[in-house]
Amino acid sequence: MNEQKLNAKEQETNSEELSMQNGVAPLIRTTNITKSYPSGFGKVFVLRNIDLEVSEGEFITIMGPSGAGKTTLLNIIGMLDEASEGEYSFLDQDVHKLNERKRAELYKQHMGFIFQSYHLIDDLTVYENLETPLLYKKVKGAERKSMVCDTLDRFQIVGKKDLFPSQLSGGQQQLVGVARAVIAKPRLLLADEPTGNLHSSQGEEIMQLLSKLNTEGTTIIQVTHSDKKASYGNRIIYLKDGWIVDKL
Amino acid sequence: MFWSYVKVSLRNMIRQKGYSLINVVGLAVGMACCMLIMLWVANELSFDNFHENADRIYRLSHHLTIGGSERRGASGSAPMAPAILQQYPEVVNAARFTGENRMLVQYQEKAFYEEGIRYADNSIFEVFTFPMIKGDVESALKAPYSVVITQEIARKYFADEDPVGKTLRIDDQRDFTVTGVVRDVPQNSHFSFDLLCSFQTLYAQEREGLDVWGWFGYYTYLLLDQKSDWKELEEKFPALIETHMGATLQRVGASVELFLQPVSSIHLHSKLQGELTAGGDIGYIYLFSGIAAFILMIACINFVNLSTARSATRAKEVGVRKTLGAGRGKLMRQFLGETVIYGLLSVLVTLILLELGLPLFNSIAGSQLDVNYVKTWWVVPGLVCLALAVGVAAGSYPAFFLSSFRPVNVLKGDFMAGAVNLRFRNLLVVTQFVISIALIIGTITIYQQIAFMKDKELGFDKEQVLVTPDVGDVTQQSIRSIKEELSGLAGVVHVAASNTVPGRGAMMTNFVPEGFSEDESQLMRIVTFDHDFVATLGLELVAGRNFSSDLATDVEESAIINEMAAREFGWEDPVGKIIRRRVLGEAGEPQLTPTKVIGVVKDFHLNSLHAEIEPLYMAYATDDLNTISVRVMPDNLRETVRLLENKWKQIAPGHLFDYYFLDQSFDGMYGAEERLGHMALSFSLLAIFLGCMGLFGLSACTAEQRTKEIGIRKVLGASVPNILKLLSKKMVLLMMIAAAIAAPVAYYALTRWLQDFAYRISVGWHTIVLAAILALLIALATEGYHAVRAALTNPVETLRYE
Repeated sequence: MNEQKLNAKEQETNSEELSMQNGVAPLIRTTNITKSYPSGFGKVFVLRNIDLEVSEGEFITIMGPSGAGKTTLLNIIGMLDEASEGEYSFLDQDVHKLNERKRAELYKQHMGFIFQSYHLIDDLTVYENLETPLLYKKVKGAERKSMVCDTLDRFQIVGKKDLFPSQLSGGQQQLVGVARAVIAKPRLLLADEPTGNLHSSQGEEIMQLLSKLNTEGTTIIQVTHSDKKASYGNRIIYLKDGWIVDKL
Repeated sequence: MFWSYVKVSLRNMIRQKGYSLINVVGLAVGMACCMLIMLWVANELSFDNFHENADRIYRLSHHLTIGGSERRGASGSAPMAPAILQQYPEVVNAARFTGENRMLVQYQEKAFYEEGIRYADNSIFEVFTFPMIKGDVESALKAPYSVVITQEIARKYFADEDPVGKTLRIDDQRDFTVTGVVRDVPQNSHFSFDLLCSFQTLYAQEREGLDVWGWFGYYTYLLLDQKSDWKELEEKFPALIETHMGATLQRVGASVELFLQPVSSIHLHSKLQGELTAGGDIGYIYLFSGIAAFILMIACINFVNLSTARSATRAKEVGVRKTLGAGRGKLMRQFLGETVIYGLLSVLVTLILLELGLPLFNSIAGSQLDVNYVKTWWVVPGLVCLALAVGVAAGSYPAFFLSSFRPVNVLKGDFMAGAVNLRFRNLLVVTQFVISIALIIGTITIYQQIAFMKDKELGFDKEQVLVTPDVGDVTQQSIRSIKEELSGLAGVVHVAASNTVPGRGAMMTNFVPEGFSEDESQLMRIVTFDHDFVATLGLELVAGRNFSSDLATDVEESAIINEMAAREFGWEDPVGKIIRRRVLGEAGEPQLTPTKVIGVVKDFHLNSLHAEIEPLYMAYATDDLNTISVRVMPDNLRETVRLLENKWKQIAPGHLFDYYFLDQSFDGMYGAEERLGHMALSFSLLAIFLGCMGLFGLSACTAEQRTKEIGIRKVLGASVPNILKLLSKKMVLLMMIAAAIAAPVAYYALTRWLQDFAYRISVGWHTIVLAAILALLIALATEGYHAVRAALTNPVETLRYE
């Protein structure tokens, strides 16, 4: 029954409903995920046999040295990349079996991305950057406007709405980046070193913001190098040479 | 969503001003070229379509064979039209007119030579559509000595007066009554006129040949009824010929075929002897349509290359949009839309370029095009369609390419999109160079051929010869005494009289040379001149002697021939041979008069080098000649001309001294080729300009993308020349490939073009090499700017941020 409901009206199903029931399926489950590239006569492995479960409402930090496969794992979870082997289910749907279009539909509805280098669209103003994901979700004009205004308000960037990214400081840009990621109310927020390019005080602000979003119900997975930033989350996954390890 | 795309596109264009400029200007120049050529082509194709009956009018032309020679002419003879009209009911009307006459036209104090005088049947107004403004269409040209004039002539002679009923004195002999005024002949007509004298005048004057079936001196047009097929009519002509000419043809061993030509196909498809105007050429229509397409292609290629080379700047946007939920289709639509916006912006620039370029194009192409946005209503909608088409053609690949980026790759930061599609881009660059090199080879060859024709030894000395045609008409004084008066002037070397000069053509008649039987008549051109002609024109006698004024027998019994005639007749020693000339006897009965060959001149060109030298028969006369040629000293030319002019005023008071220089008239015969050359040159330059613009943008990208590599190489010890070599090595290779493709294509096309000339150059390998080197130098110079700048940059600058 729960599954039918999910399929019918995914975006309105909220986490509280799910967590009220026992033995609920996790938001994300990966089994034996492996990522490799052909190289010469052999293969180079980036990820090996990753088994992972993430439940709704978690704030997970992925840590590990450079080249451990953190970003790759995040990309696979975010459906920007595909695993070479293994199974991945998101909201009980087998992502690895879905076609491109269905997968795009799924992540469009449920995911938001935050990047280390913000990745705002240079030719769009703050307002338009926030509006873009709603355009792709075909949100109607009036509703879209009110959603953008709400978000501008909530992130206290109303005064910046007509500025272009180049006119903002790094911290402000990332603020817009976060705002853009959450405007469509995604269930899962993926952040790849969201504070990597920021001063520590700016970084703190962003982390507090993420933390606040998490307490409001958004599941977050972040990649970071910093123990301090990791402490905002409630679970840490260590990666080393593509394997999940208990400790670094 | 739509406006969001438009906004992004415009902001992107503004941010990258240089590239946007290259794209917009490039597309605009391409489209403007295309449009100009389309206007020209449309005009060429519109020839003679303005006649209401255009689809039912046919010209009667002939194919004459005598002995070994043949002639395909654009005319009929005077008795044909009435006979055809009477005999074949499907022919509902017919009109005849003559070639253009150049005669003196006088009205009170005004006197001018008019070039465009024809004699025409009144039915010319029924067959063709030449709207009459004043006068009676039904009867205007029915009576002898009536004349219909165009508006332009009416203004010239009568200003504000009503011309109808006034008299014009024509040829200083007869008064003609003006019976009508017609609108000026449109420029897209294959024949034109300024004054039409009635055909009846010719009958009244009992002109020669009006009842002779074999006198092909009258242009004849037939109007068929709606349902008849002209091909069927053509099949009935042999019987007609047999009835009226059978006996005569058999006697001289000749044959005549008549054929019809639809009037609207004459301008582009007909290349007969005695065409009314030089006419166009369907081949040039194809050629320039092709060039238009190629130039547009170069502009599109620029767009494709620049967009893909600059893709790194858009890659991030693609990645971000995809992570925000954009599908590939949406992105493709966005990028295509962007190209279309470029296209539409270019339309505005195109319209400006069109306004500026049209006068220039007209002066180059010798055309009279104008952009009339009402009459040629299709220009603006056509341009918009063209812009959309160009947008889709140029935008498809970049849209496809850009939308294919995967966020995982492009969002990492060190993405180099440039290298991905290098092969495809090289292919496009080669394509551009192929077009440019082929155009350069073409241009050089055309100019070489023109120079060849102008410099070719003509067999006579065309320099410093002043010619006054039609002198016989303006004075009662004998030509012999005029000659004497002129030859006494300072600066005058020789004076000669003749009935034609090289460049003005000559009649063709048939002769029976020694060794041929009477039914083996041979066609020869015939020129009549006096004993001074050989010296005046600098003809070279290779055997025998010149005509002599002392020998009375020379007039009737002697002839000079050219070497070609001797060769044609197989005569080793032509002097002394007899040629029998066919003339009309006392009773109008054709008879053969023997003449003896007294001299042979070295072959000389009577016509432009399009035509082969033909067997030529030269007869002697001292009177009845109408052209005077004067050889003058090269120095003090102006003074000599002034003296001649003053003398002329004494000889023929009140008449203009009407003259030209022989070399100018000869050079002028290659006007069509020169126009072609100028057009080819202009479009080659444009093609190269466009190609360079693209190359300039492209090399900016390459240099930018390779800055880091160049920095590293310099740190490792590479010198500036090393770097330049590195950057230009590829260009040389691409250019060699392009030259290898362009050479055979150009060679084939030009060899075909050169077939039109009886005397021609061949396409030389050095032309091809020259063109390739030229293109390479231009390309290297274009690329050089960025290459040098990149090579000179201090590596500390470029590597600092790593």
